[in-house]
Amino acid sequence: MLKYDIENIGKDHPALLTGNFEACAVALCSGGASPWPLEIEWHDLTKRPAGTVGPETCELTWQASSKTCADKARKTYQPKRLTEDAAIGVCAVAFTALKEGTIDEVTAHGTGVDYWVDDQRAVLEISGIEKGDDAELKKRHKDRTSQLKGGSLFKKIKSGYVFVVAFGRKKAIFSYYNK
Amino acid sequence: MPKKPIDPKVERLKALKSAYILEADASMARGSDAAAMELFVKAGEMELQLAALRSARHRPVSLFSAGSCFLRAKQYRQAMRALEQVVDEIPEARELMAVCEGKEDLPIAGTAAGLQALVELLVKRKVITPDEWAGALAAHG
Repeated sequence: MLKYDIENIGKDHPALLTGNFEACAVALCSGGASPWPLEIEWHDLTKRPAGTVGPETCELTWQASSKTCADKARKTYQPKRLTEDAAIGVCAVAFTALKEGTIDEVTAHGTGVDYWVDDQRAVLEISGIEKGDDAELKKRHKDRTSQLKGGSLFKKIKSGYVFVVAFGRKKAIFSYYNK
Repeated sequence: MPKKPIDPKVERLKALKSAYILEADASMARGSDAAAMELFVKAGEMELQLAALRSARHRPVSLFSAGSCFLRAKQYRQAMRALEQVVDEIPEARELMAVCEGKEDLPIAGTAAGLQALVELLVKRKVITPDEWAGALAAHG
């Protein structure tokens, strides 16, 4: 089983201000009880052995001080923001744990926001669901994949990731596309 | 193959503008349009600085993002100037330019509340120094 201390995402993704993402992720990971096992169903990742498929479980851990920050985040942010920021935090964990690269930039893109990996090697779509079953997770992943593939940045770079997490199910789908 | 090191100045600008964009997007989502507009302007300015520092491969994305930031801040003329530079590389820029067409820039309310909170965070995370913080707020009026 993979293990990852969530306080390390700032070190592993130094271009992002990750404190908020850590706090929101801890808030949504079983209400802050460490450790928290996340099942990551991965598809076609670049650094996994050829011909292998997920899922793989990653155990997320954190210190008591992060639980305090998580409690503040829960009181500060509306549920949508909390879930979105938590998803970015958990996505950063998945990138490092599975050795896929570094999330290193955010860009505005029309009416939305895009994330970049490894100095614009690939574009990244991230989404999170606080509660929801496997069907909802799969549907969200499908929707975000369509969004990624339909976007002009993916069409230009031809390389992209989709990461969707369902906190209530402790499950994520993480996929890579290269056309 | 080892990764090519990135210019520390570019790295720092990427971190700063990423924080501004995320905060602006969050402000917009919670209906704080005035705070969002000023943050998007700052982010757009940083994207322009980044575009000037980056390679030809990376420059179009920074310019496109700058245009998007200015558009979301309702600064249509600045948006047009950034977007018209990338229509060949990113066709979607043409759609955003159509949105800007014939519109006057909206005044920025300049509440500075969103900016101050964010700058405090950046100082705390040691992304910028307290001196730069003072400078940023003074520049904001």
